[in-house]
Amino acid sequence: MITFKDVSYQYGEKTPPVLENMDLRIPEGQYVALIGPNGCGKTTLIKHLNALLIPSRGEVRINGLDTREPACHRDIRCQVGMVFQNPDHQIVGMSVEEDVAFGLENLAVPSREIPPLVRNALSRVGMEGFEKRVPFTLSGGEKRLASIAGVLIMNPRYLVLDEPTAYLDPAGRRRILRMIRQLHHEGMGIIHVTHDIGEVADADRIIVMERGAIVMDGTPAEVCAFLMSRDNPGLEAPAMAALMAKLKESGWDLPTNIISLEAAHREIHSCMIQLAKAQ
Amino acid sequence: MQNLNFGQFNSDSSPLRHVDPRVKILAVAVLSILIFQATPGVIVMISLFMGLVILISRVSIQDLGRALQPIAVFAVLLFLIHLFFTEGRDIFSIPMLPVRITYEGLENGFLVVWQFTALVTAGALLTMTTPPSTLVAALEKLLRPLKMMRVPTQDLAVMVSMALRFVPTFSEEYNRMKTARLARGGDLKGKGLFRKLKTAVSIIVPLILSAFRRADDLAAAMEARGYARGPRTTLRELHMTGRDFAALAVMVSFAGLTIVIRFIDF
Repeated sequence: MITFKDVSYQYGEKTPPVLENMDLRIPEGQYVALIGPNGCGKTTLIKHLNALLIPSRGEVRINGLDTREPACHRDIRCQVGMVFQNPDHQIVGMSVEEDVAFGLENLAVPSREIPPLVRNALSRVGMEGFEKRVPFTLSGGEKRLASIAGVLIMNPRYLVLDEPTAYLDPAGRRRILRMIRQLHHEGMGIIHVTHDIGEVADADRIIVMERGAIVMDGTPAEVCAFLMSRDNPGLEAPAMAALMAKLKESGWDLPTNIISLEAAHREIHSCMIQLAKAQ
Repeated sequence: MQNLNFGQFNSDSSPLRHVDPRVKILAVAVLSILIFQATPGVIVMISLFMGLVILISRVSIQDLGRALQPIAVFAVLLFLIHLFFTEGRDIFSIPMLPVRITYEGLENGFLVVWQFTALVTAGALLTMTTPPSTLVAALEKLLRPLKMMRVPTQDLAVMVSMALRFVPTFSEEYNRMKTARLARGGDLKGKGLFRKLKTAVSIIVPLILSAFRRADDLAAAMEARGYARGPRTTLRELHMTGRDFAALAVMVSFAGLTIVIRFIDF
């Protein structure tokens, strides 16, 4: 369980707080999406999850470990794996295998035990055979997968991904999203930061942030209804929900809290069958 | 920036590739000392030895030449300085003008150019037959005794490998900035020293700024993956094999022989 108790954070004493009086609980194994406009504090929040930032006020605990205790940092960082937005800024190795091994080296795992674990981590993200490749020569999607492997190798219980699909082509995006779902099915807790609510339609829970505070926390359908109910500067209601709303205006009897294409298709299809029956 | 290929590892098939990098580093260090103690006999010995190593290493002569290219200008300059500014018996001089070439100058010039070339060749052979990561691991091992003096050898090794890892990234970024300038109508081929300097500054300053930003992100990413002071291991543990001991033995006996010749030659 990750718990935030009345957490506030400000970067300097004279700057306004980026997070304010935040309370949050994330149970193990949950798939949580975090959405919000640029500058709303998403990245600041996730940096609290593995003690890269320490709250100015309040406390953050990861399975009971207090992030204010430097002695707990190593444990916390093993439990919460963090994948940053730009893989170019986090790959440290001169080859893929070296980069993936970095976390284990830091944990002082004996050298001979590392290679099989590296192979295993790479196969979990579908990158078998990439061990000797130079990270610099990989595609954007492959770099991202390699950096995820570098985090998975530490066997975290939670995986935090900061806009994992940014700068990727559709194929790369699908590959990453498929992998996130797979990891969630294997029981890993996922915290997925994104601008696009469409890609987290199957999250257990979506948290909407605005100006350093949580303004909505609910199931995808609830969050979708919330977004449809108001003007959202910097956040777009899902395209499917907007389509359903337009159809509703034209007299179709449809729900508007729909995010995924599949759900929209299902709803429209059943509505058409009903119409056909009525005629 | 164009010379990034200087002495870069590219000989995966070289028999030297599999020699323990510590042995290779030690060999280069010993050779460097011998090179600076050179007498005519030693010069012949070392030249023959290095020729043999180049043959065994199967490194292509073109690649080696490319590694030596950037130093050619320095070598010529060094040669000329020694040629003209060494006191001794005249070979040639212009009366009334302070221009004279001496036997000693010619000798010194050749010696210095040979020393310079031999040193760079030894270094290039090392880097061309050793992957950078292995080189870093070896450095870390060799520096380990300094740990007792509280020198953070592991951090040093990580720093070196990080610097190597970012060479291609920065060269890519440099090219990107150059293209961005060209795309906005910037002129990179301006004439005159002042304009050239201005162009260089306009690219290098943002490059340095972006490097700092990157360093910040990188530090966070490293910490997030558990990097901290304390015991670390490395993916590659180095082990000396029979071949490595043989190479070491060859090197030691060669050094011994050279030292003997050095004193006979004196």
